[in-house]
Amino acid sequence: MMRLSPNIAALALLLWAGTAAAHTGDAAGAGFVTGFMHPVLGWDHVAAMVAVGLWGAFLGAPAIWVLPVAFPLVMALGGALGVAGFPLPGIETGIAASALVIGLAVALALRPPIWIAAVIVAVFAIFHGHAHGAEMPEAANPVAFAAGFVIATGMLHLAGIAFGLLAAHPAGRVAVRSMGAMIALGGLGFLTGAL
Amino acid sequence: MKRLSLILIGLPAPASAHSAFGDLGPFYQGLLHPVADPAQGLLVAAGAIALARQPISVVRKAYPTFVLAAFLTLLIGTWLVMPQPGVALIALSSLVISLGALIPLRTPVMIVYGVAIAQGVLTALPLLGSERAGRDLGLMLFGGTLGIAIFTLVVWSAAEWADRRIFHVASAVLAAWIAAISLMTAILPS
Repeated sequence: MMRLSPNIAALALLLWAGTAAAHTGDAAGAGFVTGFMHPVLGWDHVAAMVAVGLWGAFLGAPAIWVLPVAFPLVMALGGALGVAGFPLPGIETGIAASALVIGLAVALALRPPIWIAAVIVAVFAIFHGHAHGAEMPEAANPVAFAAGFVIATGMLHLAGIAFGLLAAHPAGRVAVRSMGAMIALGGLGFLTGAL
Repeated sequence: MKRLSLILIGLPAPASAHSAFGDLGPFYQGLLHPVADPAQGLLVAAGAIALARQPISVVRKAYPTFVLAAFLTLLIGTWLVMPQPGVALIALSSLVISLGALIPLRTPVMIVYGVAIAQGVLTALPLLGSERAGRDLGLMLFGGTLGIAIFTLVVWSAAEWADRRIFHVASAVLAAWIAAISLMTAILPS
């Protein structure tokens, strides 16, 4: 068997070095994929978005489509505030509270009038939008970044709606309310810093 | 020699088939412009989803009007210097169109035509920034018109299919997404 001298081995290993990345690929250099992963990789965002879909499906028509339509529109207003650099206090608290409140609404099977549900969801959408929008101007392709996080948010709503449709069956209703309770617990964890 | 070969084997360079956005040639550059330029793609998507919210009888007239307006704009742009719309203007147009698509009222046909023409002109203008000339320009204009027409048709048919097969207001949800992206794009610092 051929023996490789230590010098040659060391030289080979040096030349075989991996690429040194100047940045981690967070916001700078970001585009669609980074924007898409922004809500998906934040558990507080995921919990709240799924809860919006669950609540919409639980309330039935017209909430099942009013909430997923209203949310991105109001979220965009929050995003615009973030892009403009407008300071909004308690963003993380607002996001955590959204999971808690909407999760509780599902768990307790609350059925407020549609406009109240829409206002609750819209208020929280501002916080979510601001969190995403604040990172937009730093992205290499802000339009693609915005498209990514809006589409990801919408997909999470759809996931919540798909699960929430189980509420049409008695056993599914228990599952949906249990999911709401778990999201509310998660929200409480985010709010207190336990998660 | 064997040692050198070992070093070379251990030093593989990334194999790139081609650069992501090299010179694709005038035709493909025009064809893929709505995909490569997110602002233009946003406007085309907004128009396509607005079409999906209209009855098919309106689409049959509005779609050719839109494509014709885009083509004529490109054609006129080969002789005259046309203004280049900023991203904010394109995003605002996309916002207005997608919000209009959310209103569940039957839009008067003349307004649909007017919007189709305005949108065709605005969609085509970003393509005129290229410095091509002669045959290349012709190929790019042909590719551009085809790209706008195909991209619109694909998004319209996907939204129409989603409305019919998944949920009857799927296109309204898509319009809300486009409106949200447009609003944030419009406010971006230039």
